[in-house]
Amino acid sequence: MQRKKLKRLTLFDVIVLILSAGACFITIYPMWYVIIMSISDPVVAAGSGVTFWPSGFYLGSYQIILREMDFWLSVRNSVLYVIAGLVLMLATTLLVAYPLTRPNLKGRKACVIFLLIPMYFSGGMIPSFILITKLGLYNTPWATILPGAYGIWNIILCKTYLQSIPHELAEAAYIDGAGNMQALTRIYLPLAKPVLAVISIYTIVGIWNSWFGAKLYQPNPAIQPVQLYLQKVLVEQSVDLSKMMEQNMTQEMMEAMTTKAMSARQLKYSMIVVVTLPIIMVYPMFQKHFVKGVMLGSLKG
Amino acid sequence: MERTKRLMTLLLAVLLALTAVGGAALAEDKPEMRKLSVICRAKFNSDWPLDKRGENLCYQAFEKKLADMGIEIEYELVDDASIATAVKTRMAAQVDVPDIIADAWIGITESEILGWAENGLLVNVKEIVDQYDEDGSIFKFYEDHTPGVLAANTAPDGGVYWFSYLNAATYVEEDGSPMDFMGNSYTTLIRADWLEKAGIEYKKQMTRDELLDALIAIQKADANENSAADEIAAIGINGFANGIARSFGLSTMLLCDVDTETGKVYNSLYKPEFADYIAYMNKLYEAGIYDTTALGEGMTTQLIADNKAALAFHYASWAAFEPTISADPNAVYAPVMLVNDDGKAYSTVDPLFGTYCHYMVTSSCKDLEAVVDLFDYIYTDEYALLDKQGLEGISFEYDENGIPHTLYDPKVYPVTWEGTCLFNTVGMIAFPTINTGYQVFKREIRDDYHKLKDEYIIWFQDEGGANSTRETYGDLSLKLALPTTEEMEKIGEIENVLTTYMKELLTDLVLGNRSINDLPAYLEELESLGLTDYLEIMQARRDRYVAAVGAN
Repeated sequence: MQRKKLKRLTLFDVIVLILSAGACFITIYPMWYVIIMSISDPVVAAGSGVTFWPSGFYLGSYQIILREMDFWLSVRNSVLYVIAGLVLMLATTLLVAYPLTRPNLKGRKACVIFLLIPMYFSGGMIPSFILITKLGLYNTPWATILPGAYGIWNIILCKTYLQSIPHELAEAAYIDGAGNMQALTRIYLPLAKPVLAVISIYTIVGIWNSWFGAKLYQPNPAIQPVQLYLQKVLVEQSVDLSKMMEQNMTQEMMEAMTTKAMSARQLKYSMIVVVTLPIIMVYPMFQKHFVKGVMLGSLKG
Repeated sequence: MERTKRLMTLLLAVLLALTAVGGAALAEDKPEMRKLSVICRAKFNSDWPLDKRGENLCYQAFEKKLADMGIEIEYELVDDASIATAVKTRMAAQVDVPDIIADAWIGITESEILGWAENGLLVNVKEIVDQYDEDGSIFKFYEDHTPGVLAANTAPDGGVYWFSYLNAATYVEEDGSPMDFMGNSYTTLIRADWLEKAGIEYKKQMTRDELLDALIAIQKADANENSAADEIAAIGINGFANGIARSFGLSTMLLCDVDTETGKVYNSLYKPEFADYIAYMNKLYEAGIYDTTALGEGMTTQLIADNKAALAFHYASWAAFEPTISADPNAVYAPVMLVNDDGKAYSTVDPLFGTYCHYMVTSSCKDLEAVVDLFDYIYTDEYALLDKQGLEGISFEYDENGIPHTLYDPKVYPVTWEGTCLFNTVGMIAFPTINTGYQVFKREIRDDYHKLKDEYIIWFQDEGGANSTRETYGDLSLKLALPTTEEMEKIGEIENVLTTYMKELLTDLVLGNRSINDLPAYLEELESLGLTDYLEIMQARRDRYVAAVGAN
């Protein structure tokens, strides 16, 4: 009976399938286009002759990227920021969320309110800039790492999840002589994998894709992340000369700013692929926990 | 024995003491260096990063000179893409502010600078120069070489809030004889190799109809051999800086320009030639010579690199396009001057006189006397020579007329050569360029893709420039007195709106989305948006400039 129900598609199903396929196509095609442009013959790619399938096979753009040391330096920076940021984020999240689940914690409500206020109110860019500079973090890697070392939303998410774990488990551990840290690391931590996976993937993606903080606080290219490098390449490489002229530059000035050859479109696409690959590779690692954890906080019970 | 040992020890100790005292007496008293911090761009061009400035001989000479004056510069080198953000955020937050900000086209507007000055964040350099420059040589240098610009750079409150790059070179022929330099020409550039494929002979002057026919022929001949009619004009249509507008006698400036004959500020839409210009651009579009793919941000340069641009607009000598066209190593862009059917021609050239950039002293600077001493040296003929020519005997040598001639061949010695002039290191992006010496007009005709450009440049100097009505590009924007506070507020209110409307209007007119027959309505709309006020403000600023500097 159930098999028969599955086989019979209604008109509604067909419409939904068509719309879903269209949505998938609209979503996937831009990325597919970037990939096939990056590996197609450069002459065909420059002539916009690539549509649905690669034309020819050419990996020269990737070879250029492999030789571009500035690019790999920025990738290294991003990897360091992701690792440091992830470790700090998980540590701070757990160490703040867990005590807040303890009913006997004095001032628990006040702590929660204290955490909630900055979620809604922020000083803005200039106070943040003053803070970062006065702390001596300006133009250092810490300007990216430390501000991203905690997330109040993640703390609340983690706290909610930990509260759903039966308290009796911890009580049993206390009875056996375990302390709070032991209960956290031996009882709660193994059970908190789904929420930690969610927090991890959001943190990794967030740090990997961030660039604005670096633009404000890290003018030194040696410590800038890859997204800022990509932004400079995509923006600088496509500077409109008429715009330059509007700035009343002399010929010498303009010549100086355009001695670097304007990048072929293919090189930009190759760079986008290389920058996106790490995120694509990381997602499957967290997939098992992600599916379970992504709905956390949305449903109770 | 014991006594001998003691005596020997005592003798050695005395000798040691005497040596130390003697050494101290011989040691030179080094003056305490006065440190100034400068924030500037990290590189002048992609080949010559400023962190390698120590390898440059002219920089070494500059540094030694400063050391003799007891001045030491701490450079903060910031990436081009980050420097504007770095400067603006630090000035807004007033943390980590350097002594000197070198705004050499980093993206800061004069309005922002005047705003900082109004808030007391910048030092009035006029005051400190009056205080510390005892012989008045700095401003005397300004007046001797660029008379009146100091007055033009004076803010409404009477202060001067930056030092400037001075551009007032004397152009001479290679034999040192004086010349009336026509200027560096901006013009349309056509793919000469594609003309050949289309069976059309390249000419230095073409009528607009000849240009249109040539572009159509290039497309028909599939000059880029990709089986698509995609050889188009990579020019802007949402402005007048495209070479074609100028051929109608219109200005290259979007909102307004000054008629150098009458001294009146005008907007090109009021000129009767504007309708003819739109009609011609409509023909280009309908013939498929202009395509909307060129409309996107940065698409002009992209089209050139993609080997699709049959027409471009830039300096006649511009040779940076060809190396970007990887699909065609034989690409050649050649300059073309467009002429009317009656033979009348219009041209656009670089300004020969003016000031650029802003080298500001912040209120965080503690040693203002050191700043004045630094700029006192910069505004001298000695620095000007080091900056634009280099070191005698290494970078240049004088001929019998006292004209400096470059010793090195740029084809052999790259700009990163250690003897290159200071301009290629700190002498523009950290400190003002002083271009007040001689510039030799070279009549060399090079091979390869430079050939047609070199021939055009010589022709323009000898014939084409004088036989055309020349407009100095950016004439109005460079030669205006600073706005008053009220003018600045009004400009802030209306300029962006007017710019957006003009750009959209021009695009729609060229693409046929709006009709030129409704021009009176568009002008009415512009006037309601503040065009009349804008023109009046620019006229007032221009009149104040002329009163101070003269109509040059």
